[in-house]
Amino acid sequence: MDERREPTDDELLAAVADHDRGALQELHRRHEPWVRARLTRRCADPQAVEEAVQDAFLTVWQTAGRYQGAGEVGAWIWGIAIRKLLHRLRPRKPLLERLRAQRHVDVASAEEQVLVGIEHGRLGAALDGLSPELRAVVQATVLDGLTTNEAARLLGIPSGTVKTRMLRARRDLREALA
Amino acid sequence: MSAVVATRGLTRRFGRHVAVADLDLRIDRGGVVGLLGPNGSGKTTLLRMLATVLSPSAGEVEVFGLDPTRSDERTAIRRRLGYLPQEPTLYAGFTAFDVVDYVAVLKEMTDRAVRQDEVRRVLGAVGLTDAMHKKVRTLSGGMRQRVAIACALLGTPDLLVLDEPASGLDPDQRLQLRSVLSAHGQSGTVLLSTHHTTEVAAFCQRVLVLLDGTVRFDGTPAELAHLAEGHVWVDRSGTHDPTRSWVSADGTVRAIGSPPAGAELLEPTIDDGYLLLARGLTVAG
Amino acid sequence: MSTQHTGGWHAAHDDLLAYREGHLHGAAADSVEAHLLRCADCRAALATSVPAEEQAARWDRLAVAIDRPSRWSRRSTWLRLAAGTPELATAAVSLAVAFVVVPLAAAALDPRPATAWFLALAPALPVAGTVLGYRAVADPVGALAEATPLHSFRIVLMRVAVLLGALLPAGVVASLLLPGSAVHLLGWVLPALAGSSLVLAVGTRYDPIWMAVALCGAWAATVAVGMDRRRLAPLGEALDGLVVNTFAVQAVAVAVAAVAVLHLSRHRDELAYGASA
Repeated sequence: MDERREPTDDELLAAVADHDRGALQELHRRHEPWVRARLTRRCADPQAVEEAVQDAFLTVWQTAGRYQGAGEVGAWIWGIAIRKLLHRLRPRKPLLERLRAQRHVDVASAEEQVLVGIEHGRLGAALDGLSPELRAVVQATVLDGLTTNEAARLLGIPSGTVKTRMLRARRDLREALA
Repeated sequence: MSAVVATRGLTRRFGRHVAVADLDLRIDRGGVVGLLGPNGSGKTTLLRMLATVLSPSAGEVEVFGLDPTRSDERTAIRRRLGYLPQEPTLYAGFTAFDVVDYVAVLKEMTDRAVRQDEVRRVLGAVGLTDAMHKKVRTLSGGMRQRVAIACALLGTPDLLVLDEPASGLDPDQRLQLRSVLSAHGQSGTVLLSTHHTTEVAAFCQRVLVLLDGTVRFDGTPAELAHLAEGHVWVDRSGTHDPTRSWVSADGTVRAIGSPPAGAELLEPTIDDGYLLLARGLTVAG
Repeated sequence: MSTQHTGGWHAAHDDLLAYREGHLHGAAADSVEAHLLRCADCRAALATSVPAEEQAARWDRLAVAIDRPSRWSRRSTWLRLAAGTPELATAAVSLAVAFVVVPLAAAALDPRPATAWFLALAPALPVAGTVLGYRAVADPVGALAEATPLHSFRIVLMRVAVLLGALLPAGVVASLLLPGSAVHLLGWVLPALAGSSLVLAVGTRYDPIWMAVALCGAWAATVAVGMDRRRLAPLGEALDGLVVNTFAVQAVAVAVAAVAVLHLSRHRDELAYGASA
């Protein structure tokens, strides 16, 4: 890269698709710390987290050409990493479920924009007021962009329960903000 | 102390053409030796014979004190030798890493982990760390040349025989190459051929000028330049022979040969010494 | 999700550190976490807070997994040296398949000429394969392999073994499936082996191509002439009467192969050190 300014994540990923090892190294430097920290908050086993992060970046190296977003490289990498962690915690899902899990994080981004207020305190306080079970569901589905089924597997509860808890969480939040 | 390379009456013919004629040479361990000469002077033929790739028509050659015409000794030589051919060809569908890894296998590096470390080391030495996983067909000419150089560096050979290593490299890459080869010359021996006197001047401790298959000069770069002492002057005559003079960067005309009386003499460079030899204007004493 | 952030809010440095070390909890942690997903500056700040050696060690571990040859080159060393490039492997397989399919297809249309042509041309494929083994010895790295210690002839042998290993069984299968007595249709096998060993032996010093062409040409001509002379006889009888199917010719083939192999075992190291420029 001979750009004088810092390359963007998109540019780095395009270079990685071109098998540029240095670009992968820079992406790793930028994203590995926060992805690892975020995974650690979900899973107490450091070994599983290390392997999931390593696998994730290996996948980034191998599939960079398949990235089709714009400016969402961080979220894409996170999506790969959380799914690697899930695969580690449970054996591989049957094909149909895996196909259903291929949805992008786009669904979460819309919802997350609604929750952008988390930085501004009021919503954060409201979230704090939720019970731990409801908060866990909100975190898994909205913040992590997992599907209902993935959240169910992560939390070890049936997916029906995930849906009902999500409804209750939304209702509680609306009341808290009203 | 036994020599790294020793030849006696080394000769090589192709049909009726004599490429290398009755050459006596001795290269001791350590340092960088430059081989200068025009196309067709026998540089490549000589290097191929020293690299155990070509057999001599007559005379003797010894590398590390071993005889390359005997197959077991030839293999022993090759284990301590790194060779860069003049026009390396690489399979376009391999990555740079694949190519170097393949040559590492040919150099009998059977342990996968050791081989991986060594391949990464030599690719790093030639500045191809970031590009090592790109396919050869996507690499520029200079990068492909550097892949070939990396292959020669595998296993840190005691003798490096390089045929025009700087070909296709830009000035920045040449600088990097020089530092790699100079470092190699500290512990091992480097023999390289080139057209460019600047390469020789920059970092060769010894230079051999080869013309028509014989060594016409053997000494230091400074001595080669000194050959032209008193034979380089400023030509203000207005009429000048283009084979012996040219306009230099500051606008004056620089001429080589026998200066007229009272001419302003100039400090000779290696280029001048080499040109004098090549044009047959003087004989190295 | 854009890399910009709303309103100029950034996570406090202490919070980032605490978050990374796992000391931040609850909504504060969620807040930092959600923000990181969207703010490149804060991600950069977090990345800078990691000690360089720690990050370098993590990268090195990843690099070991990445710095490998591509899938083709990760095969066993033997196969890699023998097959050289993916194209050569495909060529070997295609030739083997063609060796079976083409004669059978032709025989379905017109058995007699198909059988005659098959017998005439069958040795040419293994012999050509052996020549190819020499041609390919320099690929895929060309002259870079010239001064390496691994004996080039061993690689030629590996290549020839792979090619013959594909072609000979294919040819035998074709012989067994074609109309006509199998014994007669297999008369090409020993001569093919003799031709291949001759090519191998000669190739250590000279380019074997012209000798290969001459041998295959002579064989094809003999078969063609023989079949033509017996064109009125039934197929089995015609094949039986061919010169090439006589015991004498087969015995000569075995003798030639034996001599070639003997010569090879004594001179196998002479490859790639010789007369060529």
